Amino acid sequence: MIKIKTILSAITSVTLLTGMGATAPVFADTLDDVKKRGFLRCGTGEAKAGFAMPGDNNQWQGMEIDYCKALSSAVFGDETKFEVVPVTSKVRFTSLTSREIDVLVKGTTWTYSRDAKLGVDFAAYWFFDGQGFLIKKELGVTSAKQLNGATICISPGTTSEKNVADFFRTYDMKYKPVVIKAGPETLDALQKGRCDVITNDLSALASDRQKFTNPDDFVVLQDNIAKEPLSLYVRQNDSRWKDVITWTRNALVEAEELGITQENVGQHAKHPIDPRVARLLGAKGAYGEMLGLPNTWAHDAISAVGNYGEIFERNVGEQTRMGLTRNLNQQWYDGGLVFAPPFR
Amino acid sequence: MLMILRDERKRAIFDQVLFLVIVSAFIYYLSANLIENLNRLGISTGFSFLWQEAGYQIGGALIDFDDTDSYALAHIVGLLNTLLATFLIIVSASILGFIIGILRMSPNPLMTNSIRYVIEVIRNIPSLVHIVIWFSLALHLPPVRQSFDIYNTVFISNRGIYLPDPNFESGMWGVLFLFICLLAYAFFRKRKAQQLMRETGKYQATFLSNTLIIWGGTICAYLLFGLPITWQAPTLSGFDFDGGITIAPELFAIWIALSIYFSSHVAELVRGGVQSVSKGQFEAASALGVRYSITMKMVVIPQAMRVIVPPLTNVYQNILKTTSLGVAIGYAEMTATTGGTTLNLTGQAIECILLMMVSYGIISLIIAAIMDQINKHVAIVER
Repeated sequence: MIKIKTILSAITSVTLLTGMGATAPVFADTLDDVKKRGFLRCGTGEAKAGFAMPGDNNQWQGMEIDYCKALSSAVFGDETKFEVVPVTSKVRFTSLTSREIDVLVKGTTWTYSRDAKLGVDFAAYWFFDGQGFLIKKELGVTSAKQLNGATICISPGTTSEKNVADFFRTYDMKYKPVVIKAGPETLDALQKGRCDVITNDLSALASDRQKFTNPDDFVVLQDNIAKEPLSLYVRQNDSRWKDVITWTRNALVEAEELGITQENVGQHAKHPIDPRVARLLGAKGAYGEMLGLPNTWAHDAISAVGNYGEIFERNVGEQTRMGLTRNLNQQWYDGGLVFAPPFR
Repeated sequence: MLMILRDERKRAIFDQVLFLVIVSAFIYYLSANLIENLNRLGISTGFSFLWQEAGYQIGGALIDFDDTDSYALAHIVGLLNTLLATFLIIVSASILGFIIGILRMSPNPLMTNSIRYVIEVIRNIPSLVHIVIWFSLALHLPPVRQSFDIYNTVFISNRGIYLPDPNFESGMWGVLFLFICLLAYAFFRKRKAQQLMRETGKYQATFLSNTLIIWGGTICAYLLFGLPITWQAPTLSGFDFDGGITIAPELFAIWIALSIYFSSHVAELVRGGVQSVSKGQFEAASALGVRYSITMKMVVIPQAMRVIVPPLTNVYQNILKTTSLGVAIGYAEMTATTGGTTLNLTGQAIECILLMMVSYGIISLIIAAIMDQINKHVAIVER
């Protein structure tokens, strides 16, 4: 019978069938699966500078990869026990539901219909993004509301297409969409004038602008036409694993609030003064065990990648080529949206 | 029971019914398995999403399409673009391929060899590379504000070729009516000439006179009705041209690229077909004093067609399937709308892929059916 299923999946070539055909009957907890397997399968983006991109020595680098490291450290106490599985926008949810990956880290907007319909659960925000427009300065456009009649280059497989349609409908304007693969093709199209404007996530536009030989001829408009909370997803009805994902992220955020960094985490763990630090780092209580993790899980994660602020600055911050400011990704007490519930 | 198995004809029917039952059971098992698993994972299934509002726009739609229209209509828009590209490429690749294929067998060795190398090079470059090359060439045309114009009516820029839009006035219907009448008359003349040929063996040329009758008559009528077509030239306003017909660079690129690519395939088929006609046929014709052009037209090509048509069906079906590469340069065909944006927005991967499979399958079968008719027409008529 298994053989028939294998043949079938080859025929239909729909990944969903493959995964489920082989492992349908047993639905064990993903945390147990990961522990038994000995490593974690982390679904990341394919190539997005600052988020997931092969860097020097062919090592993957970026914010998404750092989250995989943190998770691997939290579960195994070792930052190398994970495998990077690059997924495209088209197959990401199918990869997750068919168990090719354990967690979807690739920048994926949390939306109602995805949560409700696709058999996945949202676990936590990882990056607050928005959607904007990149345009040539010489056109003299200062606001997105002046774009009536413009030809717009959009990348396929993203929520951008819908956002643009919504925005232009709201302001009763017309546009001509050109759907081109993100990357050099889009930049070429803008440079040569195939389209008047590119739309994408603001973080992506900031890095795109830097790729032109003359970045000063281009400008990212101030308008933000959509909320894009890039989030971590797990399979539906997998509560314990979802908690691990959510609270690992929370631990990294909490660490920044408490002033724990990659450098001083050892110090803090040995001599915790603040009881909140003691609970987080496993010096007091058995907080890790509640999740089925080692008691030093948060300590291990922080010593692997640092706190949320450090991860941001190292990968996409102002000192990097991406040159992003924290903006909405500041801590709540600085006026941003990044917030961790209390560890008690 | 055994009686049935002994009768050969009944056994054949029995086998087929048995086979059908097994296949249906297999398909039923697969779909039941799939639906059960999807339900367990909490993924919604079914095609009801097709009637929901699509919420995105499509560039280069042939029919009116807006973001408030349904996913089903978005599929139709993609389907029409697929059909448009397929049709244009089939026509131009066939014409170009036949010309190249005939030239390939020219008695002039310089011609034969240069064409041979051109065909080899074109044939061995992947179709996607052809498309990307032509697309980047199209992008190197001047930008829209400095577009190249022909008498201020046709504009060429990297945002497309803008042609004036014909507006039919009422007089045009008269012209069209006359055109159809003339066409019928010319057809009648040809039939009569053929009958004369069969009965008396006298050859009466009709092609030239018929062409003259049809076009001469139509043009006269067009002038008499007072030029009933007005052309609306595109004008530059705001970001882009307004009015007129636009051939987007994506369509232009895929059209030119695949026409060239597949013309090399057609050319090779034509060469194979003509070479399959035995040399004796040429020699017999020339021994009877028949001219080279007539020999080709009346003796060689009709026989070659029997060999060319069946594999030509394959090429045409390949053209249909290869238009899906248009997604790489943003041509809004079926793979880009249903298999791209719709799939992503709804997450209904299996339904979208199924819809595409069925659509491509149906068009493929239609092509096969049409080619089958042509094949019957050119096949040896057994008497």
